[in-house]
Order: sequence, then structure tokens, then C-alpha cells
Amino acid sequence: MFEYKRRQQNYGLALINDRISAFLLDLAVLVPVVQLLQAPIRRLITESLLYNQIESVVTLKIINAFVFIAVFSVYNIFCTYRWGQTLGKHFFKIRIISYQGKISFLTAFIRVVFQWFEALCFGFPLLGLWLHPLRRPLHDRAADTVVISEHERALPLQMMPPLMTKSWLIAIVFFIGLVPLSFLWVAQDPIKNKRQASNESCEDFDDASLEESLHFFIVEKITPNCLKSKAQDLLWKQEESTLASIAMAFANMGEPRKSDRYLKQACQEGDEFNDELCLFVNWMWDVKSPFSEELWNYSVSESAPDFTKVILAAHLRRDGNYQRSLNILDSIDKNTILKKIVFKMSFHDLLGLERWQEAQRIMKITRFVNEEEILHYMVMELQSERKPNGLHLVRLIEFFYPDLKKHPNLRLPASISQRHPLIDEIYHRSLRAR
Amino acid sequence: MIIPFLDGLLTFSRAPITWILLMTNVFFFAQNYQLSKTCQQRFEKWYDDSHFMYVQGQTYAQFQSRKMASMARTNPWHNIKEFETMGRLSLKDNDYLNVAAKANWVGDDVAIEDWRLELTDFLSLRDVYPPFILGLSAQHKDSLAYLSYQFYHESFSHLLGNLLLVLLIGAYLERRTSGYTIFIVYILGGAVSACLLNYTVGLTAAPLIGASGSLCALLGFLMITEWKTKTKLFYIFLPIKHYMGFTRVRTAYWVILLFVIEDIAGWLAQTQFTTSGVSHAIHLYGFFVGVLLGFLYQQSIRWGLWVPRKNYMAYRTAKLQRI
Repeated sequence: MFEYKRRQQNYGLALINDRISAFLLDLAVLVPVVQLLQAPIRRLITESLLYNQIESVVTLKIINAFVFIAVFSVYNIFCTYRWGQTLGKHFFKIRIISYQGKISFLTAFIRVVFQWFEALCFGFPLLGLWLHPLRRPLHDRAADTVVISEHERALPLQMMPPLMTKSWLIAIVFFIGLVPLSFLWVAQDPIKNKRQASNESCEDFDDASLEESLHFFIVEKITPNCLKSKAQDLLWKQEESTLASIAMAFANMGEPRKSDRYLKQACQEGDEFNDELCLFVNWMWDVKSPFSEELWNYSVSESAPDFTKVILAAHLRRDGNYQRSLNILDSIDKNTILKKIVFKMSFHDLLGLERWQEAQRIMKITRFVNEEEILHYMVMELQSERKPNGLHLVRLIEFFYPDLKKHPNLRLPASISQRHPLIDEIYHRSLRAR
Repeated sequence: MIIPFLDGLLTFSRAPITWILLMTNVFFFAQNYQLSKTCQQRFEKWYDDSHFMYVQGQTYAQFQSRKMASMARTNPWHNIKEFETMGRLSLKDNDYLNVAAKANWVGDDVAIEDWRLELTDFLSLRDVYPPFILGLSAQHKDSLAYLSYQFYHESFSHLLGNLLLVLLIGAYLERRTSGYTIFIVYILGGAVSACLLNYTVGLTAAPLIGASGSLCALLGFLMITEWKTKTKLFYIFLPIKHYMGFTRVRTAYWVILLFVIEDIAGWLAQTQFTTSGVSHAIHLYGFFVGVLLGFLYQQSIRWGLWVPRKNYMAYRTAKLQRI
């Protein structure tokens, strides 16, 4: 089939369609061979994905790509050097000839290298066909070759007008050139992209313990799903099973029956903690029931876990009992992560007690507490059962925004007035009343 | 794109057995389509339920650990971290599914209780799902299943892909051999390749369905009986006059390049845990059986055990002379 004979016949320039079809036929013939050689690598990629070995996946994909490049290159170089045509070119009766005479190995090699260069830059190695008068893309010009056709439909061998203007080509190159670049960028780390999409909010709390995650959940810093995945993991490993069951009860609060079952499971185990913890958690579920002295003593004692104190402080603050809440927070033995939660809760208590300067000091210590927290406090106050205290609000705003005290006609910052219009209304009404 | 064309789509009178096999496939598909679709939608809810799959994966990990410990072997599943993935893989393990709902599992008892109820529903739905009834699986491998699995397909695209090739290849061979030959190759090819698969790799809880084994047997038979002849292929590279059409290529070349090499590549790329949903092993076994049957056919003609069609020898002589 690859027998090459010199023929005394007319030949002309190969048609663009002939060249494209020859390229596609070569692809069709070589793809099964490439897949066969890539099969062991694809198996390793699947196993690496299963074992979560992400670095191996990227390396293996690069090796996979190299196998593809190697097979096509070897095939093209060999066929061009030996016969001046590949299988596809033979089928469509076109062949490569060199301006230097016989096609040397170096010529074939240079031709293939520049084909890959064009594929990388433009997404398609035959793009230059439309521009050059002799239909010579970059790889033909670099190797000093031209592709001729022995077919009847060959073009006359003379300079042809270009089929496309440069500006069109630049536009197409720009568009097509994005394709390999975006492929390279996206293929870099598919697992990381997938993980980021699913676990975005939980990544920051990967290092936190279960108890710390529970604290974050109580102050609404992590989602129920993050808490659930952590607690679930420990339950299956049968570690910290009581606390994990309580955490699952919290995380499944949207499904009351399921939540109750986890709570029941936690209280029935009780090997690490005592029954008072279960009483506390039961009270928490039904906060209208009285909070006994016994439960109070347990909650503030050293033996109780920190999350009971955090819950109790939050409950007291909701009732407007800022001083008691602050006392409980002071008793918590702060570790690095818990410190942030305690600062935030203390900040709210200090605002409630009108101890502005101490609150401002906390703002300077940690960027975890900022203007957002002031707004959150104001909104919580307005939504609470207590009537919104207009003068308290005015004093709070004037302390943190001193410009408003000097120039009363100035508007409230947009971050406040847009979030809750009632704040704006109460502030200006109280100003007029003062 | 290159596809075999051979004689094209012949009329019923010229290849009746091939058309009967095709109609049987279509009949089974149409008969069970509605039920299959309803069951599939319900199954998809479980496949998409990450919590169900997570619990399933946790229990499967425990099952594998116990199994490997009792066999004093290291557990190859130990390195798989994603429990949802393990949950999906567990659906192929018949030994696990037989005990899962009743065995004692350690962990999140609340989740295990809920999962058990879901799993019981899942397993009972499986008993009415047509691929499990008609297909070949570890749970369902009586002698009738070795025949029925060849005539049922999962989806319309699966049916179309297989039957188009069965029609092209079967019709071509039927004109040159006989209807009995095609029938025997189709049925035996599918049944024997499934037996070989069961004996070597083993069947899983996921049912084996489709005419792929039989189709590959026909391909193997075609390759041997038409080894030196050139058969017609249809190609299309560009939708323009000179770039789409017909060509003749030696049968062995295109069968090996387009089918056999692809199946070997697919089979090598499979891991011990996962498959692509296509059973490359049964394709290769079917091809092997078809090749054997092709040899037997040729030897039977040579020994006078089988008299081919009246014009067959003249046709073959003419073909060989044309090369």
C-alpha cells in the first residue's frame, strides 16, 4: 500500500480539503493505537483518583499527553522520511516534496516539531493554509517543503491568491488559540476545582476539632453540612461518640425526628460525660422549660465542655443579660480558635452594656470583629422582644461614627442604612426628639 | 468517521434470520421500556443521594476489611478515601448486597437504621427491574439468562449502536453462508462468551445485557471467513462530494483496527474496582468464539461436513481472483 513509484505525470498543489481529510484519516487510524498504549496510564489515573492521590493524577495526565504526541510524531516522521506521505495522504493522493530534493530525516523532524508548535499556538496545525499563496503553513515553510497532489482535481502549481486577509486570520487565531490555553489551564487540577465547588465553606475549619466546630456552628460561622461531615467522620470511627452525636443533633436541626434520635443516642451512651450534659442539651431543645440552679452550676463548672458555656452565654445575651453573659465568657479557657468566638460574643455584650471603649479595644485586637458586627448587633436588638431603644442606638452610632455627632445633617453610612431601613428611621427620629 | 458498510441494509427476504434477531431485540426493548424507565428514575435518586452512598460506602469498607481479614489478605480497598465512591462500587458486589441489610455494622447507628430501610427498598426494586430479570448477573445466572441477556438493551442508543452493526454484518454473512450459520454464531457466541466471562472474571451484581458479545462473535466469524477479501467501508471526513463515500479495505485490517484494538485498550484500562460500563472482556471473548466458529466453519466445508450455498464457492473464487 505504501509503494512509491515515480510517475511521469502532471501534478499540482494539494487542495486544502485534501490535506484536512488526510489529517483526519491519519487521526482515525492512529487513535486506536494511541488508546492501546495509553491504557495502562488511564488505569493508573483511575486508581489515583480513587485513592485521592491528586499529584499523581496530574503527572499521569502529562505522561498520557506525551504518549499521544510521541506516537503521532514517530508516525509522521517515519512516513514522511520513508515515503513522503502518510496513510491519509496516500489515500487522497497527495505527497510532500522538498525544495532541497530528497526529504531528509531532519526535514521530516523539523516539519513535525513545527506542526506541534502550530497546534499549541493555534489549536489546529493547518491554519496557515488559508494565507500562503502556495498553501504552505508554518511547518511547510520551516522545513522547506510543499504538498502536491497527483489527483485530477489538483490546483495548478503557481502562486495562488490568499483565501483570507490577515485581519480575519488574526481574529481566528486569537479565538482558536484560547482553546489549548484554556484546556491546559482547566486540566491542571480537576480535583481541586471539584473540591472547591463542594467544600468551599468548610475548608477554613479543616483543622478545627469537633468541639471547636460545634462552637463555630453555634455562632453561625459554619454551615450544618460542615459540622455534619466532621461529626459523621468521628461517629463512624467511634471516637468522641457522645459529642459527635450531639453535634449531629445540632446539624440535623432541620429534621426534628432525626435530631431527637441523635440526642437520644448521645444521652444513652454517656461514658465520657455525665447525665447533667444530657439535661443541659434537653433544656436547650426546649428553652421555655425552667433553667434550674443545678444546671446553672454544672454549666459554669470546669467539668462542663466549653460549648455549654457558649450556648448559655448566647442564651443570656438574647435575654438582654449582658453582664452574666460576659461573666460566663470570661470563665472560658480560650484556645486560639475559640478566642475569636469569645471576642465576638464579648463585643456584643459590651455594646449592650454601653461599654463602648472596651468594645472598641476588641475591634483593634482582632479583625474578626468589625463594622459588620456592630450592624449585626443593632439588627439583633431591633429584632429582639425588647423595644428598640432609640437613644441607646443614637449613642452607639455617634461613638463609632464621630463625624455624625459633629455634623448631624450627614447621612448614615450606606452599610447601615441599606441593610435595615428601621435603623435609619429610628436614628433620625431619636435625633429630632433629643 | 469510518463505519463498515458491507452490503448495506438488505431487505427481509435476503437476510431473514438477521432481521428476525433484530426484531427480537427491538421487541424485548419495546416491551420493557416503560417499566425500565420508571425503575431507572427511582434508582437515580439513590445514586444521586450522597448520604445514602456515604453510609453504603462505610458499611462496604467494613465488609471488605472483614472479608480480607478472614482470608488473611491485605485489603486493596483500604486506600480508597471517598466513601461515596465506595458506596457506588458496592452495588456491583453480590456477596455484600446479600448480607448488607441484615449484618451488624459499627458506626452511626441512626444513619445505619435509615440506610437499612432504603437499601431494602433498593433491593426489592431490583427484583422487578427488567435488566435484572432478563440480564445475566451473579444473582441471576440460570441457563435461560445466558440466552435472554443477548436480546435486551439498556437504552435506545445502546440498542441502535448494536443492532445497526448486527444488521450490516449479519446480513452480509447470511448472504454468503446461511441463516442457520448466523443464528448459531449469534446465539453460541453470546452464550459461550458469557460462560467464559463467568469462569474467568466472574459475574457481578450489575447485570450484563446487550448483544455486544454476539456482535463480536459475528465480527470474529466475518474476519476469518473473509480474511483475504476486501469489504466495503463507508467514510466521511468532510460533508463534501469527494470526501465522503465508499472504499474497500481488507476485512482483517478494519476489524482489528476499529474493534479489537479498541476493546483490548478498554480492557487494559479497567481497574479491579471500576469499569467504564462497557464489558470489554465479553467483547474479546465473543470475538474469540467467533474466530473459533469461523475456523470450524471453514474446516467443515473442507471436510465435506457442510455444504455451503450453491453460489458460495463460485462467489469466493471470483472474490479471490479479483484481489
